Amino acid sequence: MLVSELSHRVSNTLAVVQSMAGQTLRTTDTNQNFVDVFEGRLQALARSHNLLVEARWEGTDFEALVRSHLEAYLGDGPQRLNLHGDPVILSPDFATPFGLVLHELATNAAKYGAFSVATGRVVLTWTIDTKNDKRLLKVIWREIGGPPVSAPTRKGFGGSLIERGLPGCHVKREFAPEGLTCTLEIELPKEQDHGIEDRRIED
Amino acid sequence: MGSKTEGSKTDPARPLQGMRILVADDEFLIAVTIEETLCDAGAEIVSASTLPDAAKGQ
Repeated sequence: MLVSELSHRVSNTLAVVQSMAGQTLRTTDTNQNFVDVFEGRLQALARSHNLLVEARWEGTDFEALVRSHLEAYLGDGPQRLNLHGDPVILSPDFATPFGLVLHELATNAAKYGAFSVATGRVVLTWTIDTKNDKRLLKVIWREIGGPPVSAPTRKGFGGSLIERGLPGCHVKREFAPEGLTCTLEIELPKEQDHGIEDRRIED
Repeated sequence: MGSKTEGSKTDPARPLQGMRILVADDEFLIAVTIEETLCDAGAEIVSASTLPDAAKGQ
């Protein structure tokens, strides 16, 4: 039972890594660029994984997930990240892709947005609305104090990852000159609906 | 799942030309690679990451 579950997860992770390598290769121009971008994505995957392992794969706190993915971008200025939201636990199925989405938002901010200049910061707010058995999580990522922003001329793989990386998530990115605002709305299953005991083995 | 929309001559490099295929996978990174492979083979892709989306994806 345990070995079969482990095997399922490892196969899935390897398929994800393989696909990530292929997609990153298609969208980078030099070997060095590929290594840098791929390494960043692999590290993002590892960060979420570590948080989940620490929590015995039972889910991770959203704020802890955000901090672990963004701390590398803050340098010596923790005030560059403002977080406002109630505690939310994300199940492993959501935590891993959410980590990648946060990583892509942060790398874009470091390249073109608020994290590319010393005066820039990111304000991340979230709310959770519980209705019946569902929890609607709304996350707003807002960049302030960065250089003037314009919409990208073509959507890269990072942009696709942000918009489609979370299954069932409605994502809106607004490239206002004063900074990007990205809104993510996603329906989460009820809180106890995760953990290894009640996971069905699918194949 | 797919259907030929017209009986056209088949380009050997694009054997799925004229097919419309629903790719349903909740793992984006896996879905995107499948979509690309099918797309390169000439198929038109509809993607869905959840079951309700898949049901709508006709």
